[in-house]
Amino acid sequence: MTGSIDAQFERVMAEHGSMLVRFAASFERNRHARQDLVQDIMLAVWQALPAFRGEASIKTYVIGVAHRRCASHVMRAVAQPAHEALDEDWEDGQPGPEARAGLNQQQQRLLAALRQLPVGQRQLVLLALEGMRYEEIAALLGISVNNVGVRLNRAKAALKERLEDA
Amino acid sequence: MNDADEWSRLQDAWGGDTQAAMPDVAPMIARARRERRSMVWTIAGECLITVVSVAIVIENWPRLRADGLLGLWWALILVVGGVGSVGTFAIRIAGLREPTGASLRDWLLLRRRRARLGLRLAQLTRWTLVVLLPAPLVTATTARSAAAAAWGVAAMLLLLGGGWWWARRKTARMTTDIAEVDALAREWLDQPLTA
Repeated sequence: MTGSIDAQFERVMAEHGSMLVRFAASFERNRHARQDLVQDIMLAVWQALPAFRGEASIKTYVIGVAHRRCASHVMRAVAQPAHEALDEDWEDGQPGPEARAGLNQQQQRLLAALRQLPVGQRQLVLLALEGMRYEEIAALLGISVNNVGVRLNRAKAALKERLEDA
Repeated sequence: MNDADEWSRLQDAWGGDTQAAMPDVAPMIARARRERRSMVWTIAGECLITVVSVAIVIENWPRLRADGLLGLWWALILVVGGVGSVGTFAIRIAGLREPTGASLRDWLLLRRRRARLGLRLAQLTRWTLVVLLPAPLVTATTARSAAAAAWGVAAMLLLLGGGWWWARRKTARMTTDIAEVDALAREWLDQPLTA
């Protein structure tokens, strides 16, 4: 049982690990805190895997876990804003942690714009960028599909503004 | 951004070829596994201690009854101690599992329910401590020797003081938790949290 969970975990990480890094990067600028967040999400995925019953795809399931962890992380960061300082590597023109994390230039530009959005909009754009449909986002958040549509359109418009400004 | 092509270009760029270096979480997983195993054994041990304690109380019931209210007090302390410690560890082990709520709303509701349960537990602890307030006095007056009285009173004061401190901290933490969950619901769901 333990072996099969570990094997499943390795498969999930090989397939969706990069997505988890993108999730963490969207909600945490600080390199060390982001590394901790990725580890935290990975551990949560490992803990959640035995409860996976296949009602949704494994990707949707992993996104759900990552999303909740990021929400928790943001909540904690708001309560203790000590480590919210800008990432020093991002600021000094050197190859940033995003580049080192394997993000290409376009991804970095998108990430920078994404980070400027309020978290409520950011999560919607992020979920849509990861290929989730309106119905899946609605199920993940527990809000109506109409609500997702309205809010996502607003969020996309805000993202467009940020991208044009950049 | 309403342009579907532009959006799909962004999606392609976002999920494009990336080889992110994944951190090694094997030590964390091993630690979580060890922690879970040790907690299960601790809970089993505490259940065993509670059962043995209850058996001792039942066996000595006639003598305890002869001591009047003291017997009832001991029984109460045992029950509170047993239920409290097993409950605490059960909550901790539940915390080790990732909640499988279907949506962020369910998860937030679950967190708020847990926090409210914690608040109620703290309230219950306070009232139990109020009932136990005369315990040091009773222990001092019924002890067989001065040394036993001193130890007994010290233990009771520690129990009362510790319980009061824990209930205060728990209340503060749970109140903050509820406020944070509500704030998170407003920000992430854009609507208040209703069951």
